Amino acid sequence: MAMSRSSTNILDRPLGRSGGRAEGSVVSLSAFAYIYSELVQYHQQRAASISELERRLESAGYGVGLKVLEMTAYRAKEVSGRPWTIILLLDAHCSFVPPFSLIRHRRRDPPSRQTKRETRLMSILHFVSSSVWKSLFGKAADSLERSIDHADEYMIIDYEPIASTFVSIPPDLGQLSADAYVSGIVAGVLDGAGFTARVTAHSVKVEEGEYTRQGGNIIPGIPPRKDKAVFLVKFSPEVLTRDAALER
Amino acid sequence: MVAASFHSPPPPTHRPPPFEMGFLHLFIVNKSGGLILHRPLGPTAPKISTNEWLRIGSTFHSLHAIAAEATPVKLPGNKNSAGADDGIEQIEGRGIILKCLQTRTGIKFVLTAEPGTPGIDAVLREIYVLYSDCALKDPFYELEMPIRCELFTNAVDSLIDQVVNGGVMMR
Repeated sequence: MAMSRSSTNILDRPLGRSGGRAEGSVVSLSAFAYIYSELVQYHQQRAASISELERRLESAGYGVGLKVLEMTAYRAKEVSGRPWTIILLLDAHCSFVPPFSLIRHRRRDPPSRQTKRETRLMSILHFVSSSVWKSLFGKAADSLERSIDHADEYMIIDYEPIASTFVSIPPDLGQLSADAYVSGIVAGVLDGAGFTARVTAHSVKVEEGEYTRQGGNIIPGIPPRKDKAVFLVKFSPEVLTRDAALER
Repeated sequence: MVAASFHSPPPPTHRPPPFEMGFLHLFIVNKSGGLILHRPLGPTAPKISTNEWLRIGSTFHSLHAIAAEATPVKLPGNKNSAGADDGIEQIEGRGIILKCLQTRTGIKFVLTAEPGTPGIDAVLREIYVLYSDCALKDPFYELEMPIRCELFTNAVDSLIDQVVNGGVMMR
C-alpha cells in the first residue's frame, strides 16, 4: 500500500551524473555519449541541411519529453513528502491504527498520488528547469530568464549541457547546436503539459568570468567549456492568452 | 655536442643540462599509414609543413611494420604486451627522442621530444585517453579520418601546458 521509495526499478532511476539516491542510479556518461553520437550520425546521414538535422534531433527528443513529464510529475509527490504519505506509512507499518475518523476516512480514498498539475506559465517553466532537469541530468538548469523584448520568450540556460559534452561542431556545420535533442525533450514536456511552445537550442559563447565551475572540470583532462546551451522557449499565443486570463 | 673549448676549461661546478627539455611534436597515424593529426607542442618544435608530415607519418608507419618483421625475437602473434602490433616503441638521437604508442586498433600516437624530457610515456597514454574521449565520442568524427575536433586539440594543448608548467600529471 505504502509507496515506499526503496524501489530498485531501473525506470525509477534518473539519468544523470548524481542521482544521489542509490548506488547505480547514475548512467555512465560515456555510454550516453556513444549512443547519442550514433543518434546524431544516423540523423546526419538522412538530413539534407543543418536545420533539418536539428529538426530531426528535436523530434527524437519530443517523445522522450512526453514520457519524462509523466514520470517526473508522478514522482514529484514522493519527493515533496506530504502528510498523506505519512499517514499511509503509519497505516502500513503499525499494527495499531489509531481510531481517528480522519484517517479511516482517508484510507477509503483511492491512493491518489496528489500530483500537482502545473497550470501557470512560470510554474511549468520552473518545473522544467528544476525537476525535469534534475531527473534527466542530475542537476538543475543554471538559470531561467525572460526575454526583455518578447513577452512570449523564455530562456533556460545550461552551462554544462550533458548531451554535447564531447561534441566539437565542425566549422562547415556552423550554427548547429548539438543540444537540439534536449530542446526536443523540453518541447515535449511543455506540449504534454498543455503549454504549446517552439523550443530551439542555441550554442552561445560564455563571456569571460560569466561562469566558473566549482570543483574542477566534469571530465578530468578536458578543458572547461567555452559555450553554454541556451534553450529558447517561444510559447504560442493561446498559451499566453490563457495565462493572462488566469492572472485575473 | 660540439667540443669547443680550446682554452683552458673552467672547472665545471654546475653544468646546465645539455639540451633544453621540452615536447616537440605529436603526430597520429591511422592503421593504414595515413596521418590524421599533427601538432607542434612547444616553441622549439621545428617548422615542418603538413605535406612533409604526411610523408613522415607514412614512412614511420612502414618502418614500424618492417621493424616488427625484422626483429629476431618474435613475440607471440607479433603482439606486444599491451596487445598491439609489435614494432618501434622508441627512437633516440642526439637531439630527439621519439616514442610511439600503438593501440590495439592500429592507431599510432607518436610524440617527439628533446632528450631528458620526463613523462613522455604518461603523456602518450593521456593523449590516448583524450582521443577516446574527445574524438571517438564526437558524432562528427569519422574513424580513420583526420581529426578536426576542437575539443581534442584544446585538451592536448592544456595537457602539455599542465605537464610543462605544473610538472605533475593530473591523473
